Amino acid sequence: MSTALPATMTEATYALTVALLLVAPMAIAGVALLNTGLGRSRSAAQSLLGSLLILATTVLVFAIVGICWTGHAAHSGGSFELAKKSWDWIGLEPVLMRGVAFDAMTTRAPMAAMLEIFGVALAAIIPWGSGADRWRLVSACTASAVSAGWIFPLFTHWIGGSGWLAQLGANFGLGSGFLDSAGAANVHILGGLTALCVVWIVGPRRGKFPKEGISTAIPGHQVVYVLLGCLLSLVGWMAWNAAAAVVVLGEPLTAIFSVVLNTLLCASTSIMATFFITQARFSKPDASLCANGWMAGLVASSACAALVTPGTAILIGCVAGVITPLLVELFELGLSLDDPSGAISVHGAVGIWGLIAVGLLGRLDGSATRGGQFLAQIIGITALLGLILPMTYFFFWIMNKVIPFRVDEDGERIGMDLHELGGGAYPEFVMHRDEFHR
Amino acid sequence: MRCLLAESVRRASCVAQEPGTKRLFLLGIEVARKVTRIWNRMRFAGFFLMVAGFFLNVAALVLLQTMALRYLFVICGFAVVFVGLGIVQRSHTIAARASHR
Repeated sequence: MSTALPATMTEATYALTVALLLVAPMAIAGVALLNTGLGRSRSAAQSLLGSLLILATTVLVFAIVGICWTGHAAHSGGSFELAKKSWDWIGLEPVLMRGVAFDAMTTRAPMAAMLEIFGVALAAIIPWGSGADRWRLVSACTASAVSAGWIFPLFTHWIGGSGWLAQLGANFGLGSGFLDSAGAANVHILGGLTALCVVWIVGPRRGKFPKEGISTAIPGHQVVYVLLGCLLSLVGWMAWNAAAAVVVLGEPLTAIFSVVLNTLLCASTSIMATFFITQARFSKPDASLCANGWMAGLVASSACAALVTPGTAILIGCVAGVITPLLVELFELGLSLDDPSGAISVHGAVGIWGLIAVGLLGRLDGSATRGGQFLAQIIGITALLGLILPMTYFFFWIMNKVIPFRVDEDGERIGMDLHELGGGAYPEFVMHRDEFHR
Repeated sequence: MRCLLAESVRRASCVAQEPGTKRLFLLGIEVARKVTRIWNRMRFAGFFLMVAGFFLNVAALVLLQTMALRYLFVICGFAVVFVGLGIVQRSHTIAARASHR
């Protein structure tokens, strides 16, 4: 959030933004449904319950301590001087959101705080799909608490307000500083990188990479959930992007139409590109890969929806749709990464593409140069990959020693529903013999 | 990785009963152990490179004044981060393929 933004807004803007904010959690519901559909039927209840518990954990932890390190508009946090410039690296606010004036009408800060709460929940639910069928509920909630209490707030502070990445423009003449339209960096890429750490630590599902031959395909159990999740996500994403444009970038209400249009164009082009790619490669379109393409378009729009023209949004969505199925295949077959929901490619890699696209094709303000803006985006991505990813892995690696992430072999064989919850998601369905065979 | 080591030990104990081959297979076990250590070292070397790439970017911002030099160093830092990511991923790929769950 730029410090130059006024602290208050008109009543009409305030009312409309509140309405948009109330619709934004549909994106979380969509991702949760998608994660459940892409997992196995024997883990479906655990997957959806896990999404709820992760949401609850992250909201609580973020509201109690995370908000301290995030800070919010017009408040500078802990900083140090280097090369005669101020490097604001951490927020210093009171615990339990006491620094946010929720009762003050028409102020920007409470809405920014609500967006951050939704963001931290979505960022924590994204890796849950990657650890499907083998990641234990308790360890997932603990990992989410660490993400919500330290990692997400830290990076969110860097890219917002007086954070050092947001101030790259003012301090070093790099465009308008690091630009992120609606949480592509601190929500989606962070979620994708967390998913990568989880996949590294828990390892592949049993039977995924057998000794003989190539990897085994383990298809999602309910494609209807997956596609319904995509539609729910669209509704949430349009509201989220529009609300973020007003709250974070300070766009006027008239910009909402173009933001929503860009979101829709990005997602539509992306799914069409994925459709044709899968049609060309497998002679029939693949439903779950097309769903991934749709989500990739939405993620790319998170980076650029408020910063590009409709034509550019089409181009960005097209590239996202082309690279997504190729990356899913590369990660699975080439790199032996077992990522059932495709979060690493959809949220991580495509989020990075969205941020690069903002540097290459995005709108430039004032005296900002294309080269400077591109450099600011690259520095932001490097901070995510070079500092946040190792930090996340380090925390998770330590936690894995205390609370093992992976379920034992027996639990994986009978399914997470029976092992962790004591009952399946579909009790009236005929179970396969191997689900109970010990 | 543990499975691979256990397999190496099992094979070694079987074949080592044959005269003249014991030393050779003990050497094989030792090599397997060293490979395991190398995988771990690969992972930590990769993470070290990733952090180094980030600090290369910060150093470029702080120490360099001209845009062209900054550009060069920031792109180099980005490349170093990607090399580190590649090394960490490679170490995990080897481990995943070795475990054959």
